[in-house]
Amino acid sequence: MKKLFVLSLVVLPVFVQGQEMMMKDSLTLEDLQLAVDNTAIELDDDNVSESSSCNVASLLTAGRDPFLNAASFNFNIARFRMRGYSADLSSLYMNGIPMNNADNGIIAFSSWSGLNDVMRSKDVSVGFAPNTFCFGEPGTTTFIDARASKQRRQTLVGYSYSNRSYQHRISFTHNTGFNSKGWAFSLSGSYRYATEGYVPGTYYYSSSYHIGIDKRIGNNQLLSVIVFGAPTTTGRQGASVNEMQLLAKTNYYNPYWGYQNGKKRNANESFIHQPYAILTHDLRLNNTTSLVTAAGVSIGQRINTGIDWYNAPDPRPDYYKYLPSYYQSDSTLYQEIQERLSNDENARQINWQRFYDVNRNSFETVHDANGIKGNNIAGKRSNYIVENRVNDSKRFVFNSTINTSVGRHLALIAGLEYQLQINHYYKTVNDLLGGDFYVNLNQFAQSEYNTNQNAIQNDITHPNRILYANNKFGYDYNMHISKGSEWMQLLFKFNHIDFFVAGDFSFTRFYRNGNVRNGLFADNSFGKSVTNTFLNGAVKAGITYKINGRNYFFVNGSWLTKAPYMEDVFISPATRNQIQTDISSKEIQAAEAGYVLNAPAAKIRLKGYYTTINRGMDVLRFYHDEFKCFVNYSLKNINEVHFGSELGVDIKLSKNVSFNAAAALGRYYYNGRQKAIVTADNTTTILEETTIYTNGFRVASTPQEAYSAGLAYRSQHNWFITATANYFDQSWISFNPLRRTTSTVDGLGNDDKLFHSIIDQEKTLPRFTIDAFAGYTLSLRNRHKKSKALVFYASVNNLLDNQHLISGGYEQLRFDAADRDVNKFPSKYYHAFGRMYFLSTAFIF
Amino acid sequence: MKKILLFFVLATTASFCCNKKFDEPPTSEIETITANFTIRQLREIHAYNNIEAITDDKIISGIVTADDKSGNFYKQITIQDETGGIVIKMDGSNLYTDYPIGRKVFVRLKGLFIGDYNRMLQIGAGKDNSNPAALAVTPIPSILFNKYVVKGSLGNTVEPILVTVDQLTEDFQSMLIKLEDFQFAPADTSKTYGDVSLASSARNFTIKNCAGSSITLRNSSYADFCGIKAASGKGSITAIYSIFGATKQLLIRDTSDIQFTGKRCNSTTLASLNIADLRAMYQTAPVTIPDGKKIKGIVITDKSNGNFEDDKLVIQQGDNLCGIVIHFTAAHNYSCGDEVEINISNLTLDNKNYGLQVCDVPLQNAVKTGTGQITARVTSISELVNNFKNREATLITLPNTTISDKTNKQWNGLLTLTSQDATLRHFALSTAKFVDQPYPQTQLKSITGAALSVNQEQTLMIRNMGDVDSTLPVPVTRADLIISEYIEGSSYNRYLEIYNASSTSADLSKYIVRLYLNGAVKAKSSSKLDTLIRTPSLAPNGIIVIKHPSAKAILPPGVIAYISDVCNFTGNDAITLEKNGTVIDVFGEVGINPGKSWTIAGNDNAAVDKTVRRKSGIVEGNTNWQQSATSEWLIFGKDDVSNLGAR
Repeated sequence: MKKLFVLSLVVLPVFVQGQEMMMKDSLTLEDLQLAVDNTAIELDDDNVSESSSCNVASLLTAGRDPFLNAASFNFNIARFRMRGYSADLSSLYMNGIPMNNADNGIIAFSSWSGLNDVMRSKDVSVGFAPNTFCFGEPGTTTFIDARASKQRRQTLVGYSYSNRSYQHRISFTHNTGFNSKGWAFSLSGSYRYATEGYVPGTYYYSSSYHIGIDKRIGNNQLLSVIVFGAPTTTGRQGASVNEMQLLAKTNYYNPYWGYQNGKKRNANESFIHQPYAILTHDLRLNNTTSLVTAAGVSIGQRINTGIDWYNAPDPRPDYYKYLPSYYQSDSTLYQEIQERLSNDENARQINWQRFYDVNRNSFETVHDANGIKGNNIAGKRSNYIVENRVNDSKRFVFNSTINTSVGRHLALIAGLEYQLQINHYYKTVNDLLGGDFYVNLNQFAQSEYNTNQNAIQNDITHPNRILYANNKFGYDYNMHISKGSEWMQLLFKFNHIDFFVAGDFSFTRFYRNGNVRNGLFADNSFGKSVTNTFLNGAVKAGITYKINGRNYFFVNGSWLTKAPYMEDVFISPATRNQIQTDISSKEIQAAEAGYVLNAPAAKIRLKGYYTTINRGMDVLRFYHDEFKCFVNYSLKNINEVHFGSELGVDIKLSKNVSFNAAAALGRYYYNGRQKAIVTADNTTTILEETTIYTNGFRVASTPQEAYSAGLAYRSQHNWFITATANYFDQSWISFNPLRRTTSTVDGLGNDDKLFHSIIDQEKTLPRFTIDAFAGYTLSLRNRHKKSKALVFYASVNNLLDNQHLISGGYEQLRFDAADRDVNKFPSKYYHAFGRMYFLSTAFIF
Repeated sequence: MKKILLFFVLATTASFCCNKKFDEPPTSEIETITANFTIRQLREIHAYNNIEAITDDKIISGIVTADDKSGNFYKQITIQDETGGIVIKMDGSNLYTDYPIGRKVFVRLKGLFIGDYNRMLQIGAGKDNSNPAALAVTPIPSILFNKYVVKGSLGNTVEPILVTVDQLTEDFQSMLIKLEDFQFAPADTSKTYGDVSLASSARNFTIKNCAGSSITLRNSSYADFCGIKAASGKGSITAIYSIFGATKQLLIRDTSDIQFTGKRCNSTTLASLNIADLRAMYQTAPVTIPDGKKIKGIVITDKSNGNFEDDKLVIQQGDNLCGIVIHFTAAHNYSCGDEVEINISNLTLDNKNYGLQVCDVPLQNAVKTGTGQITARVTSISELVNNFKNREATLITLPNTTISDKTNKQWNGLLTLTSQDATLRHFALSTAKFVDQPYPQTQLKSITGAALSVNQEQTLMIRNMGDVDSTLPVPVTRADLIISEYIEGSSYNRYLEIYNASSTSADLSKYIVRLYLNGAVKAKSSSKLDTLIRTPSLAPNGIIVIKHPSAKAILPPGVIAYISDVCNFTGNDAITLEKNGTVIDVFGEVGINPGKSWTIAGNDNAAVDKTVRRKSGIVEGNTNWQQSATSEWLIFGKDDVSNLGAR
């Protein structure tokens, strides 16, 4: 019976705002240990790009960490990031290869989205604790063992229903275990979809597949191959300004959709399919030494769609010039526009019908088409199209790790790693929206350089190219990134003291290769850029004092440098090879210390940490409608300090009732002043070079304080129920650096209201949520005594249906410097979903 | 089991195969509305410089006759019915995508306003009371377009009404009209339709027909045709008739409205005349030049440096050939080095101040045909004096010459040139840019200028400092960009003026202005000049005005000030002008904080709430601020922007 219950814990997925993870419970120690070990954390694509991951798991192998448990189950709704770290400061290995993208360091969760049933076997370390497979990152370091023979031998069929990103999920998994000839097979798949998700105009179609084959060779070798992928199409949601949310009377106003023939059509769709094949060879050389060698290949595609337009009014329904606030000087008009926008949904959304009407009436002759003199092509020239922004990505990874013990007291682990990633970025025409063709011209260059015929050409080798559906246009370039590293870790174990020291040395190399010659940047858009090479080192060390089997103290420290990512180095890779000046690696110093109690009736984790991250770089990019082009803010000298403490408590109150609580109390600041260089995509020169007064500004988009407390009741009769209350505070909105300069506040006293409206960073209101979970397992046995089970599960998140929780937001990067009106381009926000339910059932045999 | 498997294979492939195409919508149906009011009736309810709210359910209809596709119209369309035309102001760009020429529209007038802009009638959505002397209507917001301006059928045509200029009464306002047999003035045919430099927002032309009747053609500098050259022939023009106060003007939709393809009026061919032959016509009294004659030569005077009157120039036919003075009826636009062809038919040849000249030449008689260069004749003073009649109005270089005069040792007025015991007068007008500068007091390697009879006496007139070749290093003229004006006025009224004092066009990509705050040695803000004004070069005598982002002063008409943080100065900050990384001019001293303000010409509060102008004689930068502050600047009152953009 108990076994069955554990089984139910293992197979039931929980979805929390697009993040899928193992359900929470806290009944018996054994159950919990298993549950945590099998926690599957998954992020959907939006979350990865907009906030970042919070892959958290157990701290020490000596027992489960109640803090991490709370962080993964309860804090996700607030987009909590552990210790305020960015997503690239965590890493994940699968079957021996690193799964962080080489281009931005983010873990490629979307490749195995929906495959929780076969991605359960995990090994997690936090901070700079030692681990057995890599040097590690300041955040969490996770190993997933998805090999066929590691999967529980069972067949599972499941169905779930929810009101979140998707409504329906069906899943199937079949694992054979080893047969007599040493073969093991695993097959898993799921299909999840919603024709309309929680947010209007969004939708979700995602299938996933996984095939695993293992072959035992002799008694000391295991050869494994897995192939998996998750093609997913979604209709996206855009952040919006408060004014629009009030007019639409919902905080989930989504500017990305509009009716077409009475059906909702989303202009910002995303398609992603990044499948992987991983071959792993596991060799046990002797009783104390093993060598794991793995190679992985991934060839995939990611497409985001959007509307492109040429010599036509801005198609975005929430464009600031269309809103009432743009007409504040005329109260009659203000009211008239307000009425129209609040009464007419179509006025608030994209007007597809108008795009078709405009395109069908747009008869034009393009002269010298396709670069041929006198070649005049006439027809309906689209003013609006849907474009695909494509990234074709190829990745090859190789990794080898040796793990050995020398005597009773020393364990040595060392590894070699190499990876190569090539991304190919380009645009294609998705839909001409009723027109006959589009022309490959750069509308951003047109107004400024109308005498220079070359400037407006996206590709001067093929000027005035006529575009039909699926034709490539706009930018077209490759990014080549290669990275190699070697590392070693020595771990000494004694009766009351463990200590370790580890080092890592790596190189990173990347360059851009332009495939078209852009008219504005004819000299540095085509061909190879300079190659950027970085040599980086890292060291870490730590000591644990074991008072007894229940009480531990530990201290870890580390120093490392980290190469910048190409997207933070290239100022505008879509147009040219230009890079930031004085490029440097990031430097991170981190220290942590803590106390751990592992007693049968109580578990306590108390940790403190202090981290500095220096010399970071970033490039922010946005469309400036007065310059009529993209403007880039290149930031340097981004220094951060993160410090705080974490507490996790899990206490068994009685045979059936347990109490758990967690608190993350941190402060994440920017330290010192950043430097900004402003450039535009229609000129080669620097528009502005200035200092950003960022000292003391907060790292945005995560609560810096998060608390939870909950009670769980578990019946002997195979059911359980839990309730948890959560509280989040100290969440800040991302700020526009160019608003924090001397010129924006010149002449204003620092007690001036206007001064503060420009300078101060916005803090979102604290928030409170309640979650409840319940589950029941029905055990079935047939005549052959084969165990079968039917599992039911239900959860409600945000029980109080609080729809006013801002889950993320940013200040627009434009600032009205002339009038210093911060409300002309106000901040845009996302809100956390209201009440969410999830019902699930599975049949296991 | 197998069924389940099959099901999952199907489900897995579902998202590949089932991306259905969106159904293409049919074209929008045209709303059927009937007009119950005519444009003429609407116009009649308006009184000039008044704004009337329209409160009745009146609907007019009309066909769009002008849209914003070419950019010559901005935020407005013009519609016309059988009774008249009117402008509809609409707050959006690229209106042509919804309201192209030929579209029938219905305007629901209730809730709208009718007003006029300098007597040009317009419909809008609100009142703009900001200037009580010129009430205006505000444009209809984008979100309300469909509510007020209902789209009707496409592809309708409006035939332009053939008129003469005299027939154009106010009833024709905003109507599509056509004039026959018009042409641009000869001098305008070398110009582009608009001002590509965007120095002014529009360019006006006076076009004429053969009978001498004329009208203004106004083109926006933001029109996409503004870089095209004006048509050189004669023919018909189709345009929207517009007025600006009492001025009749025409607005074209694009250049296909101008069909000046025929032969120009009176285009009898002119015969070229050698300037030597022209000079020979003169004996002692004024003569009238015969009909059908033209001359051609290269301008050898430099109006831009001020040492020649702006309605006169001297052309020389070629190296060692003759030249002559041309006296226009008004100020001309030709620079030194322009090749000019002048119709001199029936004009008068007379010997007046500066020597033999063609008098009262109408500007349109001259046309620039190219550029060229005259190599000055190198000779001695005695040779020149003896052959002055033949050398008059030509370019002369006199080697080994010494300048002398009375007392002040500056260029102004009459000087004496001496070489090998012979002497010649030199004359500089008080308008010459270099007039306040000291002349070199040692023997010159050479001096170059035009030989002219100033007040009937043999004289040389140099054009600019480039004509003076000194063996001494002292007066080396490195004329370049300079900081020519500094304004620190009330509130954020802070401006800086940069002037190209050289005689060549400056490559702006080489120049950066930087601001150093409160004695700092590191620049706070910098602006590259080409980026700032989005133009690669600055012509000789060209001026750039830059301003603080919040500067609010009303500048002289036509002066554009570019926003730069470099204007973030408060009086004690240093400004430098760099060329290729080398500082060539300063205002203030980098690294020094003078306290509240720099001291200029003895005034210790000269850089706060003041306008500070570089003296007109200063044509080169001075990196020695102490020296520059003592002698090179003039101080004016607070917020005096009257001279910004001029020098």
